[in-house]
Amino acid sequence: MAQPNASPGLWTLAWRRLKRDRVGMVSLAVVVAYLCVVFLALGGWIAKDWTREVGVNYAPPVFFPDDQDETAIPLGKSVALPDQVDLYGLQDPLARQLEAIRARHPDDARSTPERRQLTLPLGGDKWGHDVLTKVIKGSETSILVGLIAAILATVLGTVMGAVSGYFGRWVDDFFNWLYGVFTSIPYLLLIFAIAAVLQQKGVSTIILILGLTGWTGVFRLVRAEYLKHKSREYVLAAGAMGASHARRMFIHILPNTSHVILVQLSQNVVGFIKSEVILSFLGFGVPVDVVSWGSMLNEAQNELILGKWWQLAAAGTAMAILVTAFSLLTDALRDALDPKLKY
Amino acid sequence: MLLSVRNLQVTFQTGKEDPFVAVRDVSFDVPERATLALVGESGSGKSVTALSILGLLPSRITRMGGDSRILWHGENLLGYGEGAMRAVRGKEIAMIFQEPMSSLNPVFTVGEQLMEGLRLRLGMSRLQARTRALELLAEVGIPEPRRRLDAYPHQLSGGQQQRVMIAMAISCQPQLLIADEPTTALDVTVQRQILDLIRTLQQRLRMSVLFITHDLALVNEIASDVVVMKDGQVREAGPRESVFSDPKDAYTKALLACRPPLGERPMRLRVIDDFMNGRPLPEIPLRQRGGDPADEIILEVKNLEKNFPVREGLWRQRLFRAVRGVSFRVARGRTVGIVGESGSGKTTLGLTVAGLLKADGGEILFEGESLQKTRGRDPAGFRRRIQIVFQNPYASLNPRFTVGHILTEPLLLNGIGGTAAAREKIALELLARVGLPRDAFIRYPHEFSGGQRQRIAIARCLTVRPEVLICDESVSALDVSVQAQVLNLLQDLQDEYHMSYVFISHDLSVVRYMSDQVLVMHDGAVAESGDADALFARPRQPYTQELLSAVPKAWSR
Repeated sequence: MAQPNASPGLWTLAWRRLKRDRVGMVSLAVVVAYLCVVFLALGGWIAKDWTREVGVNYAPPVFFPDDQDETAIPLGKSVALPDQVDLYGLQDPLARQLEAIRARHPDDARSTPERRQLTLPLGGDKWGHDVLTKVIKGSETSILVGLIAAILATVLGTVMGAVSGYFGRWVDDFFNWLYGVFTSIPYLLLIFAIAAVLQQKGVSTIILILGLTGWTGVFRLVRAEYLKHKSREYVLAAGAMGASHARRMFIHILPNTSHVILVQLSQNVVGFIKSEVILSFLGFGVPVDVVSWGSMLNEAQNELILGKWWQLAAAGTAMAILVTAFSLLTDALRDALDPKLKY
Repeated sequence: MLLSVRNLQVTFQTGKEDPFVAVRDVSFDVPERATLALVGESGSGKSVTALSILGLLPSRITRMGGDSRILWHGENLLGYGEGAMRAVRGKEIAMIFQEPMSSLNPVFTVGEQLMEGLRLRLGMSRLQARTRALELLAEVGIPEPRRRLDAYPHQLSGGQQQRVMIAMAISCQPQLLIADEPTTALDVTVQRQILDLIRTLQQRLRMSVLFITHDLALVNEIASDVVVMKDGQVREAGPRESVFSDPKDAYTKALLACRPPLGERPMRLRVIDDFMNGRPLPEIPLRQRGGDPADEIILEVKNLEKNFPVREGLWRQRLFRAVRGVSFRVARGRTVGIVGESGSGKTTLGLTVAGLLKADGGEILFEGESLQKTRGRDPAGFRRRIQIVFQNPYASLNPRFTVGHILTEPLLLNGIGGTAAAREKIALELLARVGLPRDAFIRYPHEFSGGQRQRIAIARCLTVRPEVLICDESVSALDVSVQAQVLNLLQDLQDEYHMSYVFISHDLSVVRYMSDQVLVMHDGAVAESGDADALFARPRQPYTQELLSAVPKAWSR
């Protein structure tokens, strides 16, 4: 009470506690680094041209390539030279005609020899896409989907939980019924059903699906918090002062439940990133022209048969690091926001 | 000497914060077959002292002073290991706590919990333990012990739960019973019974009792010796008679003086500061209370009914009648006191009158106009003109708001003050009025003590200039010395703003001190009502008489 400056509020105190948590700070740094990458990719500064075929097919991962580590594919993509034979000892029957065509158009871009990397830092995929760029672009998709869907689900769950817990009676019964419906259907089935109804593949569809199905956890906790707080004396006192229901719900009670909501949000982000990956892996996720960790894993399925492990390793590692860091950060957040729980 | 505590010093160290000395250099003796009372307000270190005797303090953060000794039959308990200590705990020294409900495990029956101790400590068989448990329940005065043995804790009343706790404590016939505020959570009539029980058991079982309490009147009833503690130190110790009749220490004197006296009604209560600064005490004139037929009636409650639906089984609902047909009138500038035990409906009555619960019948008239007719919209601002101060100062302020925010919000909501600067000015004036420093404005509630928070809650009510203030157990959670300060503040404010009070409390002496008129409530209905002095001097209803006789008798001064 001695110092005249204002007292630290909840968030300042929580931040101070978080700063003392070494694991929490490390995971926060990792998460922030990922978010920076997402931000840069979103702005088009990095990984913009992930569709460019920069390497040879299935270029193996090498971090420090030699100078000669580049091959000139003299002609367009799949066109063979007249004297070239393929694996089965056959010649391309159209090779001579094509060469003639090429001779007539010497300036055609497709006829200039293309230079391809023999190796890439994290390897290349079937078409020679750079896996590193793909991972970055994939992080953008996966993290954005996770983040936006989590925010959507948390907002939905919070508003419904607040209304349900605060008003009680038939309002509560209604939302509980809705909650019961959503939780009694197996999660994946529900997602498939909504995906089928929405009838279109796309990033926004996934966000919508995850958001519409993922609010139940937040709802349950927020409703319980509101049940507890609505009869607290500070809320009654606000009522006696003439505060409206909305004011009591969202200005008085909401800040007192914010720690619960934030932890739930954080948990949802982790959960939804994983859900997106699962959905895309199963083919219900992002469309083919978008890359995400899930679609990379999906491709890796077939590549593994050929022994090309690098796409799987890259996407898997990127996801594992983020999910671990985010989960640890969630724990640290919970400890920082609710120090009573620790003892 | 059964137990001697010598130079006890207990320091708590949590994290990187500065160590906190909870108990410093405390020494006292508990003779055999005697009752020693450890008296002090919250934070005085009395409970820490008791817990350190049993070695129940969290060892990770607790440091005992080097000279500290707790001698039990001459042996230092502080040198005991956990195993040796466990043999002493329960068997030789037993303890009962303040909250019987949280001390009993809700998923086991009373009998199972009683028998567990008997079988573990005394090695009894199931059957032996059951027989003994029945005897114990009978001994602590539980009716129908055979049935109660198989009851779960929640099926018993608070008093019966505390009896079960006592039965568990005496089950191994300890030589010392430590009772930590054993009656604080109980109604006054139940408190009387528990005190009587502890006293009889102490004599019959020839044990000593270390009775920890904040209530000096209780000490007067039960203890033979008294130790007064404050801020972790012993302020005064001695036989009861000498401490009460001739207190040496200023703090003891203050504690004795700051409870409202039962016989008379001074203008204001003496507070700790009056004694601690050493100046001679000024005479305090007496205050006249009581009704006057010519008083203007500001609030009238007629046949008020409030029911709560209680679910029975799956479908059926039963109505619990919390308030049944209560009528009273409040005159401008006067105080109506409402007393009753827990469950008598007094809080429900207060909430209904404040408009926080909807009445199911009857009428509430404010200046002759019915409040029920102004449903929803409230054009005349009646709602604003009735305000309420709650019991729990820790729950009644929003922990996420600064005090400034708490005080300016009602101004904003009711369109008082106009600009933010003007609102801030009003709030700062009110802070000064209730005796809080200016910089409280930018602080959060958790930085204040219970008494200070109650002042903030009062200031919040004052922002909207109410004409009727409902005080629902507003001083019950406070220490006696703080209680006196808040009561003085309330009286001063009443004189200054000419407010009417509805003063709800279970504490009869406080209600008597504050009220002009008194309503005694029992089971939701009014048992008796009338002028405060007349009612307390000559109670007519048997219930009122029982209630009054249960109040611990104050010492004669």
